[in-house]
Amino acid sequence: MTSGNALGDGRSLRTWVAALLALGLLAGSGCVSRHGRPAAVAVSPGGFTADVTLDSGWDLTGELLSVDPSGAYLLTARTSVSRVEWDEVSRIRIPDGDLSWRPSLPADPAELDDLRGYTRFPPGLSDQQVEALLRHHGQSEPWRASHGNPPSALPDTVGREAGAGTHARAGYPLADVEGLGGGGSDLVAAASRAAVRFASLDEAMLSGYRAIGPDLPGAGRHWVNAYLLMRGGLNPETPPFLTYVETPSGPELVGVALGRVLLGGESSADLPVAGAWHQHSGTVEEELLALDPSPEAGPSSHDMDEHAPGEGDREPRLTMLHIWTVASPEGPFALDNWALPFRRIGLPPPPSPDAARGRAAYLASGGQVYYRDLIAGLVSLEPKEVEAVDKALSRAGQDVRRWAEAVRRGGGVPSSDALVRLDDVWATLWRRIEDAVPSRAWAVIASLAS
Amino acid sequence: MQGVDPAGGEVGYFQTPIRAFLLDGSVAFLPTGGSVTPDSLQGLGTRFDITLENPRPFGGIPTDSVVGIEVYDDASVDLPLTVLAAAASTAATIALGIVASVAIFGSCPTVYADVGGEPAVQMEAFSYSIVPLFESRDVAALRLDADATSGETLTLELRNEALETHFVNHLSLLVVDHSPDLRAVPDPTGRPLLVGGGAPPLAARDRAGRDVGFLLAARDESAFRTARSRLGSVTEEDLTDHVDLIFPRPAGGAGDATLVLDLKNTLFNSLLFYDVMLADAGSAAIDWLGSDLDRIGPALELGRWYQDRMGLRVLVDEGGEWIEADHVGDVGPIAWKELAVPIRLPAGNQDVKVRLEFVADSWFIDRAGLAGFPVRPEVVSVAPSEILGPDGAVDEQAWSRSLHADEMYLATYPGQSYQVSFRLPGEPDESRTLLLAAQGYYREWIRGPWLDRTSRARGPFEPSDDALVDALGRWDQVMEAFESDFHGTRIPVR
Repeated sequence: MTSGNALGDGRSLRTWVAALLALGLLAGSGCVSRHGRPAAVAVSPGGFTADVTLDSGWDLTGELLSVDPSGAYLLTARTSVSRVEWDEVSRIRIPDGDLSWRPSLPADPAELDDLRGYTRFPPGLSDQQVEALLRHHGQSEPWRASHGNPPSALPDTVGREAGAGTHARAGYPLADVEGLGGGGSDLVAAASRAAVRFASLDEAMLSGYRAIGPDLPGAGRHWVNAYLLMRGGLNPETPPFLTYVETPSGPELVGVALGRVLLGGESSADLPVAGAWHQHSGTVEEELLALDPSPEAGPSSHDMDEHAPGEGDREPRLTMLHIWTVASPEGPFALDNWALPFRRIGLPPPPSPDAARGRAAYLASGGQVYYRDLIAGLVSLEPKEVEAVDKALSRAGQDVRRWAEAVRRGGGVPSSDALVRLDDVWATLWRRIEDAVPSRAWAVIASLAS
Repeated sequence: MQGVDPAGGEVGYFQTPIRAFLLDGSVAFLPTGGSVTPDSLQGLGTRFDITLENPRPFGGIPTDSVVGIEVYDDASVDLPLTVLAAAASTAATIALGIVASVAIFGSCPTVYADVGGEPAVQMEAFSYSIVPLFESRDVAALRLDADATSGETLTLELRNEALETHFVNHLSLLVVDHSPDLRAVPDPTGRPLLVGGGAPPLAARDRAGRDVGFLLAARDESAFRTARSRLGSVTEEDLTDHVDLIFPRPAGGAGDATLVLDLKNTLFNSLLFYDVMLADAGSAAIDWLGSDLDRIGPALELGRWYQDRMGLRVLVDEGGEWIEADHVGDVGPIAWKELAVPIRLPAGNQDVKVRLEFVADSWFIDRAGLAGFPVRPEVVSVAPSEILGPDGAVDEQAWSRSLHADEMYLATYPGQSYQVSFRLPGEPDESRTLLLAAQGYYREWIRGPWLDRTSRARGPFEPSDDALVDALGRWDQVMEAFESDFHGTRIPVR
């Protein structure tokens, strides 16, 4: 991809999409909805996910890119950029838009207007834009039904066989997670659509999510929907986990997570984004200690998955994949996102926020309580030692808040000098704690300082 | 863990902190666990008399003097509440007397509303959320008098009528205004959907070949349940029953539709939990409930097994193949629950065939109807405005603990009742449905007689189809007596 290609660079793509989206919002504003519902408008850079049933019997599931009088473009995991004509489509269904549509021939212009609101490109795609999309996805032409059967998808089920005469979508469905086959970008796109839907914590609660465990410095607070987890937990558009952080303007959704319950002998080897999954099997408290990993910080059950059944895989466990929908220095599937502590206090993260700086910045929001509880969970201290630790944490918290205020006054972006000062606060905190606790306790908690 | 005591009997050891409520009204705290022999409960701890005074070392007690054992953890119950609750529970024990030792009414907080001047059960909240990791949020549409939905205040009664400790995290009233021909009904995730009444099935036949359409046509508590012959013929390979329904295709004929169900569980699920999961394990059930299921792995293993086997699968016939549309989790055996299950209509113009599949005799199904396209309504959440405690006084602590989904819980004990009031928004233009959302979990008390099985117990419950077949066999034998005893052992509230 050349640098001059508007679609070759993620930032350029987003800018381009944003411009089209703005047009789309205007174009969609006059749409008349069917089913008596208000007109739907795609409010994220991505279009809605559509289930398209073709007369040939094939089903395609993917992002609805655009519609026009003769058909639609979709982006699916199995077939990438795909073109369907209305005369070969028996039904389009958009689950999150509460829309189900059976095209008439010729297509009704008012119904097409309605459908445009669900697309990534409401004004439609020019031939040049289609070519650019195809190049971006390594295709010379879009997939069409006339090309034949789509490539095989993931197996429909794992685990228990469904009963006789019952098609095996039961139990652990994979059929509705077509996005998993296409690799990381599809996952992130689908997760971003979920992020739009659950931007409001109220919406998440209304949809059955509940908080589990406390806020963690690099991973936020997880909200789980047990129903979705037990249903299979692998659809990024209906993720079993949502992750929020508290910011100056209220709770902000920063990512989602997929999850699957693995029993003895099962592995996550067939799941996408190999190597990015991690496992939980202890108590919530143990796992939370291990979520901020250090050699002494509890059992090592929060391991990155080895993707092969081994000794540790004999126990039932939860395997999880974080998908960050906000900037993440180590990528969208990183275990921790060390930009989060800066986001919590309304600052842009430094270019490379590492774990230590992230943990230090966390002292300005919930960090004091978190580290106090973490230390209390790891070592037993005398009351006067606890008091000294609390005092050190309190002073460090004040120092980081002052530091953040100074950064804001200086333009809001931490300079390299400012980062050195943040490092100093962090180092000073742990020197004070080392002075305050017995050496046996320090030996256990020293790694928290790194 | 098991061993052999000096007298030669089997001993079950447990490490989970417990409170033992005794027939004489006293309560024993064993903070570091203890042991169970065929005859007695032993451990290091303190025993308080009926007034929660005169503490003395716990010297062991016969198991037949134990009403119930409550596992507890310091994280979820702070001391003042514990002491108060223990006192209340002690009083309840006196009232219960010997009857309590066999009480089987449970499994969750019950919610009542005044309907026609009488308290009518509306909901059983977070059924089967038996440990903190299973904490869940339940939503139920309330069945109220018309004037109750348009008044200024709605008061609901939250009761603990079982030998359980309930941990209520969050209470919220969901208000949905709509046209008179619709009603707000939760989907399987608890999200309200607006649906019409739905057409009754043109035909309905169960696996035994019975025509059950007349049972499913209307909400009248004349309900379907599995034929006894089917229950008697289950095997490990074939545990299920089903009902096949044929509906007229909804108006419009294409797209999505909504299956509207009124249902509740039979008491088979209660027998499975009480008799097989808990009683059969003897004292091992204490650590299973109090420690094992606090671990993510074992909890999820049980959860996955339960999800895979129990509940109700909704399947739709697409070209001769049954495709799963959704899975409905168990809702509990006490209150009827109305559910809206979105389904995708198969292509074509023919009637719609739906199969409901479930473990034999695990459901009562009162009504099944097929309505049109499900619509997500605007929902207004209303927090409790006031809560009155068991003594009838304003209970600020109970109110604050149920206000947010956080780390603070309202713990309620057997026999306690709370009046929870909500201020309703202005009158609806047309019609209104009120739904209650309740989040929390509960701890089942281990009954004294269950400890007697310790000596022949093989350890804590392990999920398996073998256990299900065993439970179904027992259910076939005892269902009449179990059903008769169940409501008779409801703990009276004060």
